[in-house]
Amino acid sequence: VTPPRTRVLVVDDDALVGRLLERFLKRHYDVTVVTSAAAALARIEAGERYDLILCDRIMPGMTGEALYDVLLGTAPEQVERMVFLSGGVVEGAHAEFSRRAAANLHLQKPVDPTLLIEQLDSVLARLGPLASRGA
Amino acid sequence: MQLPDDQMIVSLLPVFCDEWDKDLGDRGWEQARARLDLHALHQLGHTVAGSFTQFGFAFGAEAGKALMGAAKTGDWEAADRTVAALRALLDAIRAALAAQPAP
Repeated sequence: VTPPRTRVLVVDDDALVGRLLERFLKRHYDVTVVTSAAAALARIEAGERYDLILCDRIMPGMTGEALYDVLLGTAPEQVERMVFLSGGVVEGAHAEFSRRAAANLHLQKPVDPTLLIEQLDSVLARLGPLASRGA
Repeated sequence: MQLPDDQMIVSLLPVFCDEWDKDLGDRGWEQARARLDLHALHQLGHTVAGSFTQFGFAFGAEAGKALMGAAKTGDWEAADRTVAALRALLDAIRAALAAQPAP
């Protein structure tokens, strides 16, 4: 039996960056791209589960940080699988979030595709496969 | 103008330029400028920093930081200059793409 491919959800309000990340990742993983944290949350609330959630931290509307906080209450098993991306300066309340979510991997754009896959594989090796893959 | 080495990135650059034309035009920047919306300006700075640098243009980090700084101080003239520099960068990218040898 072929094991299921690793499922990665990319969350980035910049659709271009989402497309680029999809191209980087799709040879290694099953990739789904959404352009808002709200869309990511809707998928998870509908029962979808992901091996990794590669999430931009600062987005219009619901931020990646707010998504983390919501998932702490509703899908805590997904929280540890969040990997955060940031493009700008992390300061103020955002710096406080870095401390709060210190167990998660935080990456700064630009990400190198080869290094990104190595880092994601390292997180996957640490966490192991998902117990349930959802809907 | 040096284009990125990664062909995956280069293949997306025409779309990158078109989309950023819109975001620096009436879809994003011009609306924020007309409304003097400092929150939107700050968000634009974040997006510029992440997007331009991810596509291989290091100036995005400087420009994004400048836009976020302008949002903090309400310096719309500084923001105007940064947006003009970004538009010039998009023109330079297009020119470099046009100058590439045919595959």
